[in-house]
Amino acid sequence: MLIDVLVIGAQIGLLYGPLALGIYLAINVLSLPDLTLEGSFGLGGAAAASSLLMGVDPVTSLLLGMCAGALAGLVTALLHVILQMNVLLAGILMTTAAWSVSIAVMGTGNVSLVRVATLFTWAEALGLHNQPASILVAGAVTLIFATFLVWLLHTGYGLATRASGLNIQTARSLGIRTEMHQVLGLMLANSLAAASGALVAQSQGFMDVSIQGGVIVVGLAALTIGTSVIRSDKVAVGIASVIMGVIIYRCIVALSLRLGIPPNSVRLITALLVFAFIAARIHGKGTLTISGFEGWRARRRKHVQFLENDRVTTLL
Amino acid sequence: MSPPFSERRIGGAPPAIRLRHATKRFAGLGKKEVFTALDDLTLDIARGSYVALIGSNGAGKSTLLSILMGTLLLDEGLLSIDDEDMSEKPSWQRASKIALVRQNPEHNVLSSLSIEENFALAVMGKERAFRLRRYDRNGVRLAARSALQRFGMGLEDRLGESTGTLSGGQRQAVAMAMAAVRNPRVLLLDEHVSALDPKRAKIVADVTGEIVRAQGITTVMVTHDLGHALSHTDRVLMMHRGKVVMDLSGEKKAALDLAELAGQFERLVGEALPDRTLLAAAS
Repeated sequence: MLIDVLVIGAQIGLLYGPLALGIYLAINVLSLPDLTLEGSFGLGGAAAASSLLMGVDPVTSLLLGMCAGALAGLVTALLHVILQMNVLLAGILMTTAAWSVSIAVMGTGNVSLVRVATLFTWAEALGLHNQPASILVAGAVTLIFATFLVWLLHTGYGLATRASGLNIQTARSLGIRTEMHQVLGLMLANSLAAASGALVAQSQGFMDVSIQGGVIVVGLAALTIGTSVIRSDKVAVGIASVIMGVIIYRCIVALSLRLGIPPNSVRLITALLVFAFIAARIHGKGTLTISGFEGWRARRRKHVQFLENDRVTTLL
Repeated sequence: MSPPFSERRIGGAPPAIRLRHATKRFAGLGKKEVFTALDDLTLDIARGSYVALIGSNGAGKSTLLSILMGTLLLDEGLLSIDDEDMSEKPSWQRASKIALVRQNPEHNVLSSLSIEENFALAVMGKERAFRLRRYDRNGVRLAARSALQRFGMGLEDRLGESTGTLSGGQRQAVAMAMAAVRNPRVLLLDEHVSALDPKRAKIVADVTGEIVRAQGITTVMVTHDLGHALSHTDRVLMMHRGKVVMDLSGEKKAALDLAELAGQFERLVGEALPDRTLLAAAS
């Protein structure tokens, strides 16, 4: 059963690999909490599905899906950079809009891709079974994007992008045009999320507009799990850890389904998982251990300190 | 009325920094009250000169540096650097000419990047060329090592370490070394040693002086250390309520005693210099 869970975890997790990379780029590198990634996921799936039905080959349809995601990212970035709108708010609005745009792109809420060739049917045509084919295709696509991202963030341009996500004023006084790095960074992050949407649509053989619902949490789960397991400032390690995070997350989901938890509770489990990992990261081992009166007082002092330093930010 | 220092020139060369009727206001909490941080300021700073900017809190010193760097833009007036109009340019476009070292060490280096990566950004930022290829590692390391060696803190052997692990003094040393590598036309120092302990502060301040003199960089330094300002710089400007109220250089500066300077300040602005300045002057 354990092997089974690991294989299923890898099979589904790797489909979400590009999404995890997008989340890493937006949240960890650019420090922009961009929820548009969720909308781009659906948009990428919709654009890829429509183009497949028009007779476009699977690779091009994946790229077209990514272009759709990049456009969504561009709009969010412009809302932020030009209209000076909070990224979080811009992302919520864009994701809401993306739902309707996805339906408009497909002409309907869901389409079947059973009769068209996909990346996965190509791999199966090589004589592979469904599961290995899926792992191979999703793994290869994730690996290509991960390698690209590691390379990009080590170039001079990528270093400037990382600086833009660390401290805008310092970055600008070093000659970095931070707004351009935010725009192009969000476009890339959203195109990665869209690539995941396209992969999921191709692998399940149909595209439904509802696949975007809640995927941001999958990405957040990948990020929190990955960065809790391995902590490092190094880009390559960070990227490897979020991909590992998304696989671990899917393994936990697969395991809980095996243990008889109803599929409808998967979202609850996901939310609890993210809570648990974030709590563990903030409080360390103190969350669960009872360390006596002194320990309790020390924790209480830390908590009061948090309340003293708490900052409120306006969304609108 | 034009202040006496407005047309100062050395050897007929145009000044490095030229400010004309510079005004900057901030809206107060009630939106109706307005705080004037820079009040119709006209000022020239000669090429290669080392200028100290002193004055009480809220006098407009940091606002002036922000205006020069471009993190704040003027409401009225003109700013040109090396005869190029800079009034409307954002800070990233000024980075090839101007470097700023802030008071807070955390704002001078990017703390989750390594020392080497910080230097790489400084080197690339000079040309504003952040290209899609890896930076020249050997060139960056060589430049970083030779710049860091001057501070004698052993930082030149720790280039791969994250700057987040460095102390405040070490970060300021890295920031100054990065500025030296960029070799800007104008260097702005915003109380860059005031957050450091006296020993580190002296090292960083002394090496700063050496770098500025050796590379002939036009420098504007905000400081509360009056003694250092009088003994190490070419010109001392005292600000009060957005205006320059005292401009000392050459023999006038050399002839002036610290206590006398503090007395003159009191007479001019009707209040005593901040304690830290007097303490520094007394020691």
